Amino acid sequence: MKTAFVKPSPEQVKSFLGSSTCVIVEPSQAFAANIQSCLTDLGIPAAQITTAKKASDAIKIIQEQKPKIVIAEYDLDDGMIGLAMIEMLNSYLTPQNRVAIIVTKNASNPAIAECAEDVVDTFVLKPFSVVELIKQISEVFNRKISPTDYMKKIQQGYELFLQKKYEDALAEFTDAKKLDPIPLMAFYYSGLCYQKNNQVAQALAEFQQGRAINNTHYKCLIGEFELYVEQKEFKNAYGLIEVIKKNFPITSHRLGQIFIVTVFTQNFDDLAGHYELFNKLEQRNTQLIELSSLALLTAGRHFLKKNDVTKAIGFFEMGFSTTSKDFKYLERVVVELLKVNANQEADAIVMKAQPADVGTPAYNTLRFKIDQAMLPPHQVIDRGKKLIASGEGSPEIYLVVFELLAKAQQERPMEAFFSQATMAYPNLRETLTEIQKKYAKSEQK
Amino acid sequence: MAYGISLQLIENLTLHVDVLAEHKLYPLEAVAYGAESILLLLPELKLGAGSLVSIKGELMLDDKRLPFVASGKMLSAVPDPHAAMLRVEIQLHQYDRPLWELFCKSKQLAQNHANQLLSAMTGYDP
Repeated sequence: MKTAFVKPSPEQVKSFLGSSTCVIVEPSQAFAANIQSCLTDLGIPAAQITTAKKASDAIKIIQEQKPKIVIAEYDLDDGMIGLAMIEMLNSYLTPQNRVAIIVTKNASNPAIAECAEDVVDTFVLKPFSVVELIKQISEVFNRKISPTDYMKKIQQGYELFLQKKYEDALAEFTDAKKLDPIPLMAFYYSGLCYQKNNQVAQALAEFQQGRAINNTHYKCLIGEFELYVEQKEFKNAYGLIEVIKKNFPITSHRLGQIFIVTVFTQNFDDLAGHYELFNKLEQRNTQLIELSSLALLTAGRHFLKKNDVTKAIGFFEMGFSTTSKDFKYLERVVVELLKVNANQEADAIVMKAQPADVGTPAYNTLRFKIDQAMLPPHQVIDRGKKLIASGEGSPEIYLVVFELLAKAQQERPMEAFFSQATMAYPNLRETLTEIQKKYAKSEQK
Repeated sequence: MAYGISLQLIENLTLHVDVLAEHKLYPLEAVAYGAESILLLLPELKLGAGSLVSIKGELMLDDKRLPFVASGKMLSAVPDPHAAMLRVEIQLHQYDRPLWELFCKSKQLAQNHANQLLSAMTGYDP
């Protein structure tokens, strides 16, 4: 086991921390105590270390203390993740002025990737040897305390970039390029500066120069991909998806972009693979759920247009699953299937509704739509009337039943139903009258 | 993927007392480990340094839970300066050495992978 490393001096650590604090967010008292031991071993005074077991307590402490160092478990209580704490830290300190560490049991690639998005300094797997933890933290401190000249330039440029002084930042990144034989970060940040200045061609050139040195340099790769997405050059963005997927785990943010690019380039067959990635993610925000379900709905519609109902159903089912079986999604799917007369399929898919949704007014209305497509008119009229009698008569149901009565030339029931409908929904009067006229005319003809 | 050392039993071989059962501390997770040792933080303990112990538990390795049995000696039991707990280091004597080495190696590989991936994605030097 390789353990050789340079430990920063306690003076260096104290100088970095100043009068600020360090917060450990760790549900296990034992692990918290062990991490605390490592920190004091590195020279951090115990008085400047606070521990929190619960995420809610940690949030308050971070808000009050504004610590410079946060060490958090990835999986916290109440469904929170340690990255939320790091994001708080990022809101008031730049990466070079703070230390963000995740100490966790969760060794999954998606978890590491999510940490990378928030520029976590190190990711330590539990259980660790004390030496290992001190080594990992020491390496972080060394990077922060004694950056190379190249990294100093990058940091200075990054500070200017955050202040939106893009020209000044570019000057720093240009200088940085002279200080390192492989100045990939300098290319990446130069690209970002040009992008912010709407100099798209120059931005692209910077990202591509970085990738010319290292084709899979993540930052340059993502820089180029996001530039294409921003410019709506989806075909070019699509060309990079495989490179990204092949070499790196996908974060929830990136997967959202991938869904968009795939739909806009109409590469619908790829969506099944993206759906698998979606299922592997540990964190799925509302935006990603909406994007992925919409993408899968669009794919389903695409295959319906191509008369491939089986494939369409496959995508609709994936979309339904991404929404955690949201009934509103199911309604949209049924409507799409009924539009192409895939009535049996609509009937089958509505069976997949969650037990809690079965029998609700929305469910009954949806079933009525399917019945309308599948049953003879007299049975649809009966079902519609039953729904109305049970207080679930929507304007749509009234209109359907009335039109069927009108079509069947059942005058008396029609008149009675007209009164009933206009009493329930007075604003239906005009439409009902038009329907009445329409079928009266067709009778005269 | 997850790693862990979870103990169900720590028996004092002289007194024949299961410390974890006595204080309802099982399963207890080791907070750290070395090449041939594990570190535990215990709230209470009836063991003194030098006691011989038998331990039973599981090694969690890539989400597999593998039974782990060992005998060993308590090297130290000192109060933790940061919590009202004892830091107890157990030196492993007789144990499934290939399994333990596999655990240590796999965990180290997973840590190296995490370091490389994080470094590649954030862009800082490894």
